[in-house]
Amino acid sequence: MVDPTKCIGCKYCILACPYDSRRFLRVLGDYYAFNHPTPYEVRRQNGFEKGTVVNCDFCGGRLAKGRLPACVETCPAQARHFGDLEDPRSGLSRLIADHRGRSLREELGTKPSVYYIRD
Amino acid sequence: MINPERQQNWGWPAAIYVFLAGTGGGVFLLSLILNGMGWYEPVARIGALIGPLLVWMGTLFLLMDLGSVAKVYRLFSSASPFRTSWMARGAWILTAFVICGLAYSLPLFRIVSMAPLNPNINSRTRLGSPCRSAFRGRSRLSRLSLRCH
Repeated sequence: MVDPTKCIGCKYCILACPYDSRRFLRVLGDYYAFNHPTPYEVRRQNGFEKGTVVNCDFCGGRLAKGRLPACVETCPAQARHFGDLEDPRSGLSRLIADHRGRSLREELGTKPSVYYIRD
Repeated sequence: MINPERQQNWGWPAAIYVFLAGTGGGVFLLSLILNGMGWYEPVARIGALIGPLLVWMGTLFLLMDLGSVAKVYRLFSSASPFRTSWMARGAWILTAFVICGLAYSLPLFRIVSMAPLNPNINSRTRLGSPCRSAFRGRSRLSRLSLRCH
């Protein structure tokens, strides 16, 4: 995770990431009403800082409130699942085991926690 | 392994930094050698000065590539900067190079010969009289820089 109050935006981590999963926030928001952010846009940008690097944190703020990550909740096909990988009896662990889920670039020693199932 | 591809995160300021830092480092190294051998003294002196200045200009371009320049002090405030981050290592090395390089080259010029720390005091500098006896002909550095006058 990136602490936006500490990140200086040197972008070295973007180059280091083997998953290409980090982005640099050059500007904060392409506002719908040009220069004037709507209340929704203001709320959406809360916690983000211009000139820093961002990456997915599985919606840590939502998880703290007991909600699912937004991408899981909003997915119309229920193609995304979220759960406890450390518990071998959790629904997610069983799903991965049943469908022989694979994670990407495990050989780099990154201990990835994102799995993909094909069948 | 990892596919080689063109990086798109750092812009043209980083390229200018690489050029300036390389040029400055090379000029300074050449001047060190010339100074050590006592060859082409005027050239060697000016080279020793513009080397660190070029590197310093390069670091200013490096700052342009940062997302938030106001937080740049964080490069130096980490508890163990040399442990993992090449950015922090580079920041410390650049700082040390510019400071040490200027500390080496500035005393080679007579205009700053009055500085009390200057090992370069000789009979031609009038204000340096308290330091003169302490420094004259003592260290290797002072002998080396006396040759430049």
